[in-house]
Amino acid sequence: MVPTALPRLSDTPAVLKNLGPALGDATDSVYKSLLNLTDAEVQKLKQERVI
Amino acid sequence: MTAEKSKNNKAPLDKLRVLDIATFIAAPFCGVILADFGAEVLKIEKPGEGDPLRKFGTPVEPEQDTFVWLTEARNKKSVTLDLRTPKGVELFKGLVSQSDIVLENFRPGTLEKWGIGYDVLSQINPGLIMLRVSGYGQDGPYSSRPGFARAAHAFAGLAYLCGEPGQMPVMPGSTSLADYVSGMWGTIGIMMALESRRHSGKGQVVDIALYESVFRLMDEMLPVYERTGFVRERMGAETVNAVPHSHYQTRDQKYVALACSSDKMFERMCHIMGCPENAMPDTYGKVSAREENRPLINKIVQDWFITLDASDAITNCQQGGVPCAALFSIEDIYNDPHYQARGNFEVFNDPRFNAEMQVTLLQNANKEAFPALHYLVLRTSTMTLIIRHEETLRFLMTHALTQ
Repeated sequence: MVPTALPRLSDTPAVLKNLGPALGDATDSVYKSLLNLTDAEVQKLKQERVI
Repeated sequence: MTAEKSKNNKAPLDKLRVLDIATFIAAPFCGVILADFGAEVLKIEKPGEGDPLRKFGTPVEPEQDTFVWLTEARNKKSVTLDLRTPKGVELFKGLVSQSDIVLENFRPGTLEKWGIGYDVLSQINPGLIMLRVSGYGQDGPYSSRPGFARAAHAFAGLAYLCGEPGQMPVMPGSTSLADYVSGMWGTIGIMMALESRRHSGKGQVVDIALYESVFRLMDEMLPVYERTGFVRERMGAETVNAVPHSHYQTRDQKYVALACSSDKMFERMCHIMGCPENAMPDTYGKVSAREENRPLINKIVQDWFITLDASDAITNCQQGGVPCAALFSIEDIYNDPHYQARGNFEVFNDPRFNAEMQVTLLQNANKEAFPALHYLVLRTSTMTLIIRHEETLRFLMTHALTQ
């Protein structure tokens, strides 16, 4: 249970989609979709501890 | 905050992408507000450890992230990236080129040291809006000092006013106020910068100091001091400029807050208390007379409240048109029908924490054999129970499983 979001908008209210995410839950998808990195490139960056 | 409603209406910020490279609460709270209303907020975290907020406060389960993380990083996505490496900086620049807003709260100069100050990033993305939250602001003689909300409360003059006269100042109820308020100021700044960008096409920097966020809320303190030299001091539960305006004890040993902020309100209060003669122009009808007689006025009010239970006193005040409320604990809040009716609590079943199984086990408990436990199950969330009463829970689980 968490405090409901504010402010309260009548037509476009806040929506709770997820709680605080697990570390790196979107790392792969973001680098692949926004920066067009390949799986291999993402893996390499992870091994290098850059991401 | 219902899913059905949102289906028909697009989230107001769903075109925005936000890079949240900040830690703890101040700037990230701005990110939460933006995320709650549809912005895609990417929480950029150090590989391996992540935002220290994950480990700050009460963990949901041992070794897990904390409740404050779950609450204040909600609706964000987590992306790992080490900004302290040249490769990390390059990746970050790539993300900036496809984003609208950057939120940061490093010490001033840190991003410049890493080569990602606003001058550099705005070359990559001229429309970029950057929120910079720091303890003391981006310039000025104290700008390089480390900041934290408690220090901001002190520097802003708030902590000085909290507590009894002549005694050590006390913590003003929360050590995170300046963080949350800074996040809100930051959100206001970003909304304005977005509107400005709509016309100019250009982004800008929103510079927020934790202390300023609080100082701006200190009503007339500055102009009055400047004009009269009046230094406001601690007044316990009381306040300047209004009497009676304090906390009072009731017959059932509870406390209520009463706010008679005008002569009209005091007149109403006197009618409620059955002593309208105290609100006459030649008695205490004017605030100047009440300020001169604070102890007497407070005694009159306190003597009335102590004859009533809190709920009756509040009802009487409410019917007489005077603002009065009980001093609520979180338990009171949790059980209050108004909070329930307004939907101020949102339940979210997160598969990571296996909450359903725990609820089932608790419901199977023998309520007569464990009255204290039953009480806790009724009054607190199961997760809180699991954290605070781990041994009891272990016993209960064994009991439930062997039934």
